Amino acid sequence: MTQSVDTTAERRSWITTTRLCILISLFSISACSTTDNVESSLKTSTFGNENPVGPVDRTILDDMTGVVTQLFEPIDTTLQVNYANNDPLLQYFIDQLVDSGYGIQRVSADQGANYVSYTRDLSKADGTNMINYRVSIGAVEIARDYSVPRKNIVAPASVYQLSGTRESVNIVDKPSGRKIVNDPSLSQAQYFASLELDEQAPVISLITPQLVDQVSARSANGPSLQALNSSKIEVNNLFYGGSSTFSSLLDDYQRVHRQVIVFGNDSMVLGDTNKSLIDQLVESEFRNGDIISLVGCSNGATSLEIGNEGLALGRAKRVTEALMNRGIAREYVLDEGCWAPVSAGDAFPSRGVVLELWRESA
Amino acid sequence: MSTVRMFTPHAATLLIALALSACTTPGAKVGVSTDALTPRITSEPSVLADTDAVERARLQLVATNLIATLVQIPEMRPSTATLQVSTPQTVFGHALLRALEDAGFGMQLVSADQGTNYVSYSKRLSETESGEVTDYTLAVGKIQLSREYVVNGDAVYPSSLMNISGTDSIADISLADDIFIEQGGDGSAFISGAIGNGAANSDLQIITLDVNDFDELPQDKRTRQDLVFAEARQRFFEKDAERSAPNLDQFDKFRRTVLIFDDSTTQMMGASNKLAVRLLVRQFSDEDVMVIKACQAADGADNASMTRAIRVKEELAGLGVPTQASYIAPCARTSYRHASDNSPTPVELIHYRPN
Repeated sequence: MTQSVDTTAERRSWITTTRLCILISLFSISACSTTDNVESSLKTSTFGNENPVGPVDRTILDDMTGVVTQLFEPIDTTLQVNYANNDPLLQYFIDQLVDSGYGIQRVSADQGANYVSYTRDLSKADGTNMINYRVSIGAVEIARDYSVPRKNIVAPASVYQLSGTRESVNIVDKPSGRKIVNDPSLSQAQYFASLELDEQAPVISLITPQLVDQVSARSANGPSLQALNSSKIEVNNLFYGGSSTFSSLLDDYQRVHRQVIVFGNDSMVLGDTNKSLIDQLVESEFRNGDIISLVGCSNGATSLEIGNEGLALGRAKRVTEALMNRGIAREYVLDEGCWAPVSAGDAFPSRGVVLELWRESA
Repeated sequence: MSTVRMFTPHAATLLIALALSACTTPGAKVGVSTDALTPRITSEPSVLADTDAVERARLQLVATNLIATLVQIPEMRPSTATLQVSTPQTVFGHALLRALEDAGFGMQLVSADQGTNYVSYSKRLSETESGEVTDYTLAVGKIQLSREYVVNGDAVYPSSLMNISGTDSIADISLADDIFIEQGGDGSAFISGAIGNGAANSDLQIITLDVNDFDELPQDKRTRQDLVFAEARQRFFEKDAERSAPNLDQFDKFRRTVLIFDDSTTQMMGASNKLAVRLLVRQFSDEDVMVIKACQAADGADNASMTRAIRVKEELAGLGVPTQASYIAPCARTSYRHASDNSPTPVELIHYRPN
């Protein structure tokens, strides 16, 4: 009996020890395998967040890809994307762009002329989930609202809003198992000014020696010689003659159209007639790649505190905004001014903006 | 005492010792994950999965060495060059494409060999009197790099000079060969240097690098691939600045703007700065010069400001300003800024025109 107890105790001890050994061995082996998998410090940032992109977002991003391919030629275009951004939606979008033939450059910050970013805002309207997508590629923005009436079903809820381009795009909203089209009139693009009107943009100063000499030679009481235009670029007062601040930019261009927009006295209000003239210019005359130069003028007495300078450049800015609202990128609008308390004679109108359309020489 | 009782402690000790000793030998092995070698643009996951992690690490080193050389060739500046690639079918192909991506090249997926910068590569094993050597070749358009490497245990070392053809601009290239020393070695040595178009060039320095066991660095202390590329690119820009310093007496200042970076470390320019650069570049003509003044350090060794200057130079290049037409000015001391100041940081950009 005693022997039996002793044997049982020994067995228990043996079993316990064996278990312990097995555990230690397993632990050691697993530790070994962990060490085996130590990754080299040469490993770069990981990517490929495996979170799946839902059908709603896939449908919207496929739509966006269709518009992007009409705005940028895939074979000739390289898009930049931040390599640290592992956002699955962006990854999915980039995959679609790669499949479309675009070159993709992974950058460390926001380098490049065609840097890609997007925002996705969720909201509710009348109890329906809404998604607003805004994709930016360089200076071009593409935005649209979508509603999500049912799970995994999406419906366009606005027209496409494009800014920074006047390229015409063909919007085809084809109904599918994941997409319904409630309002066919939304299948179009409208051109808008960018919502980011870069008020914080750095000033670009003119610093030519001639200008410095002129400034020192002129009386301080006369009209100023230069001021900032709507892009915060310092421009010359064309009242004094001389060439346009942007003349070198137009070396390879020829003027194809000219018109004058007349403003009311001491006014920067465009009015319906002028808006319609601008519409005609943009719709009928403007082609992609054209440049619009405009000179805002205020020559003569004014009772406004901003003076002739403020009035002239304000008018130029007002027309610039109107052009941008119709989808023309800021880069393609060169605005300057002409201001003085006296008439400029035949050279410039007293209260108007001279618009000239320039096209690259064949 | 029973036999079982006597045996038990010895068995336990033996098993523990066995387990621990088993742990030490393979524990020295290193490797990289399949993720680290997977190009984002296209890949064949099964190819990588079937390969040993150590072999992947060796190939990553070889790819790093080749691409760090490529980014210093003026025609192959990552900020402006877009390369055409096909889906890789080998581990070396994966390592190369991933390295090209991480170096900042634009990558375009093509079905065949379309494009002027089509990427092709090869790996050839040779049995020589010195043992087995592997010759790795990378070709991008007309530019070709090739070098032999030899495997020694878990490590890989160069066994020939880097042969660069298809470009005349190799005098300033500095090879990233230190990454091989970090693996450690048994007192051996390898040759370091480059030759152009298969011929020796007196401008190029050829040296021998020793590798000893005390050179071995722990994995987490070795130079990361992205840092290797960043250093190589920075070296290129520094050399380029020395090479292309314009005589500003022959130019007049035309325009000037000041870009503000949010802090002293960021590379993000932001939409406003990018717009200002776009507007400034709009009036850039062939003979013009852009001067970038970013460095405000008294001793001229401000790496952070050099990085910002390079960032602006890359932005200019992305907008079509040739590398040789933009110039990073030497440091100019400012008295108002302390080295630890992390407030918004200015970079002055001046547009010059011939007088």
